Amino acid sequence: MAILDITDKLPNIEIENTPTNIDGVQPEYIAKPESPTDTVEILKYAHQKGIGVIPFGSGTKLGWGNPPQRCDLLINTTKLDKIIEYSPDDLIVKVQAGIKLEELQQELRKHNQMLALDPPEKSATIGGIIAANASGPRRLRYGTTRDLLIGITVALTNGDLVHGGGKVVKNVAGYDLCKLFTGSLGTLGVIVEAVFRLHPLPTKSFILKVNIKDLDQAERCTQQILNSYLVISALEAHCSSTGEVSLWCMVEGSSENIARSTAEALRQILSNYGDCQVFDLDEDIAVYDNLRQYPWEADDLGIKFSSTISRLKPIAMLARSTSQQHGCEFELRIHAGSGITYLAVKGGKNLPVDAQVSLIQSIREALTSEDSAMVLEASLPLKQRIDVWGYAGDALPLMKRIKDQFDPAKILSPGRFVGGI
Amino acid sequence: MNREQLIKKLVTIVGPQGVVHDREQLRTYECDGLANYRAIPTAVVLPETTEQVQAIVKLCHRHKIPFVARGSGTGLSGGAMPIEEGILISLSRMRRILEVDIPNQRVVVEPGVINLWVTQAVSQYGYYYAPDPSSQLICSIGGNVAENSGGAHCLKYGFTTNHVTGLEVVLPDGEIIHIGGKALDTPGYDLVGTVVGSEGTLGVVTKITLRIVRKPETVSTLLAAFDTIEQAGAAVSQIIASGIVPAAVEMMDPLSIEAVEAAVHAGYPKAGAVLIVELDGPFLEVEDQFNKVKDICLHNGSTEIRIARNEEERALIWKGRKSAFAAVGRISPNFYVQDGVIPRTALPDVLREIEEISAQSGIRVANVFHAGDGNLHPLVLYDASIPGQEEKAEQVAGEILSICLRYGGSITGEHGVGVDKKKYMPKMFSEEDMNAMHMLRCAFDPEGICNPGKVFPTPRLCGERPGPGKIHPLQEAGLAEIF
Repeated sequence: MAILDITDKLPNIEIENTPTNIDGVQPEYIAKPESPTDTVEILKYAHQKGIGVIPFGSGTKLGWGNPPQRCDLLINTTKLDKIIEYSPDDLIVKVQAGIKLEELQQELRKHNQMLALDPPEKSATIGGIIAANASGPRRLRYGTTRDLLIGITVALTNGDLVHGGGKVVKNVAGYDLCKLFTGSLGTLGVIVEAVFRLHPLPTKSFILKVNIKDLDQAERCTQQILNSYLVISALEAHCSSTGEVSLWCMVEGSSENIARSTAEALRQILSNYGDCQVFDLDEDIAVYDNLRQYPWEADDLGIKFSSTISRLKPIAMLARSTSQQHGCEFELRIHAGSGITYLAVKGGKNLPVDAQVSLIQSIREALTSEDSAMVLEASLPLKQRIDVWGYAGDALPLMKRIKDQFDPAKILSPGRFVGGI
Repeated sequence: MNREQLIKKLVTIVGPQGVVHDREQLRTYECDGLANYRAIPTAVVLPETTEQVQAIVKLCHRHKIPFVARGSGTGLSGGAMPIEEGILISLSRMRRILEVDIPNQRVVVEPGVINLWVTQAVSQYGYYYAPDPSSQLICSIGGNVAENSGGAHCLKYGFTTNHVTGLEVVLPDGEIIHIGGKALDTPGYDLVGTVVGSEGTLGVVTKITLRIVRKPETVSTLLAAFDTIEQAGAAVSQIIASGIVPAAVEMMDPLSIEAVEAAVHAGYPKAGAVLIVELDGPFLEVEDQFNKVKDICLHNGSTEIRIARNEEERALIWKGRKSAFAAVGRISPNFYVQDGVIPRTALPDVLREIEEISAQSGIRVANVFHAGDGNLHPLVLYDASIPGQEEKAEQVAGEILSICLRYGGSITGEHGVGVDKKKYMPKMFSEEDMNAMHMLRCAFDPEGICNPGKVFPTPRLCGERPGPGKIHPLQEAGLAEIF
């Protein structure tokens, strides 16, 4: 492989050997660019030489996606970790993509502000969160990356450093490249900078928890809360093989009074369904941290369902029956107000691979055309047999044409995305 | 294919009632809300179904006929201006609300459905559709999707793009795709987010799934008068800095106040600046924050605060603001509505610069703006019957955009680029940036027949690619003239 001369060609960029292995594919090198210009130089070179590249930040989601068709070089963005511009009075921040979300939040907290994203992985970088479209419970109130990202800079394989959006929240000039790159999993370019709109930090937050009799009651309670006048930040349903169902609601207030009165109004609703526990997040932040987590552990199969609010129960029933058929326990964490469900099939990775494949297939066959099931945590043998994304729509040819425009040599994360993009 | 043959083919698709080809009737469609750009299309076709749209687009694709989709034609950047020698596809007969799904907070509509109808359809369930452009009584959802329309309340609730979850699109080659849906986070690229705001250049949207939101328990609106714009601007900054996210913050200067008073008698006080602040949400929260807002206004020198005591008073306050563009017609024979964005904190500086330009040029500028998100709508007043004034006004409008960019803003916050602002695109985006956007366009519309000549300053060709991101050799040589 002619890749060796990469260090001569790009003398100012730190390039090392790497032990990191992505789904059985072993890249030779890892590059750690220190500037957007470095990044685009690497990409341009890789394009010219046909070198397969995968960009990543902290690596928390490197296991997502289909196994790459090839990868010679990893581009690690963690040295792109600066806050470029922070304007508290305008509630915007511009950062390099490799900064960790938590580090950014610490800076923002000094001005009583926050970036309203709360994905499970605390060490995740901004670039990784955008590329994987990671989100958390508070998406109910604040939306996801697509709602908060107002500007982006990306390095393209043609050697261009390209900007989309801007530094103002309201802006309709040109195509919305922010949306295009959100969730594109490193297949169109390398995200090097991002501009976000910010929110004021709430003064006081509570989480209320109620154990609920069954899924019917959980569904009723969900609708009752959503149809109330209460503004809540998160509404989570948990359920597992033990049969326990619980609902978790988060309220935030710009003043202590508001948070308390909202929590009290919510407690009255929840108390109709069971005993309600109230956690003050100034004392019990662990409750919130726990709420952010995916339900799965190392041996589990992890599936994300994209569905609608009213499908909470059918999806949960499907998760239960499929897990039981395969002799596995399960755990569900549902963004009940958004229709997003995370399922852990306990020990699922240890099942015979045929069983894993049939498990995923039977889930997908049972879904309506409105739903999809993406496999986020899986064993390599399973990933070699299925498309983890499960995209069944009619826009795949268009998506492939987009990929072809931005990465004609198919060097960027080849094969990891939907339909082998 | 000559014109007669084309019309005959269109008639076979939609019937004789669905094709307009009489020259006088075609004039009705020669422009959108921006009347100084006009073109008469070969024909206007009014499909009633997705299949008809598909057949029309396939016909255009086969014969390389450019087409433009149009909703209600209220756009202010010429995005729906027809192409001469092209077809205008008017979607005003596709105006069915297909589904109201309250438990999932979704409504599925056809593109010709009027913005306000969506709220009317779900109001009885306690829901509404949040994006509310001033034209919401007549503008269509399809047009809103094309332009990513905003409105007075997008400070808190976001823009059209935040409220569209799914689309059915007829691509420029006639293929139909279904992207997104009622569900969020669907796998694949965010094509919904890509198409919303693309100004009709990536396809014809034939079905839209919208997110609706719960009506707030309380809405409180106040109008505060100040002696100066600076004071009002300082009040806005302090409101936002205090952690309050108002549903809307609008500001008007003396000239626009005068115009509105002459037109609709909203009862606005004579003042150096008027601020409208609206808060909505749970009763206790609104009450608490409303008092803070009042204090902040007084603290910043507000001379008068009026609080809407009921729905009629609230409507009157808004009537003044929402009729501002039209009202300016009373104090000036002609005017141009500018749409620029600046970081909110730059407001006083930018307004001072606009004032200077106005003084130097002798062209009056009335200012109306969404102060919360820094979206300015300077109304540039002129008299076209005075030789040279129109050109001067255009120059002033352009200089205002340059100021916005200098302060880190944008050339358009909600009206779109269309034909009107494409010449300013290179001031905001580099050649490389626009090239990337063009690559996206080539994936959707390689023939360049879907609303060509809009958004981008120079037409480019897709097709045989000399390499990623290269300008076509014909264009480089100045030989490509495809539109």
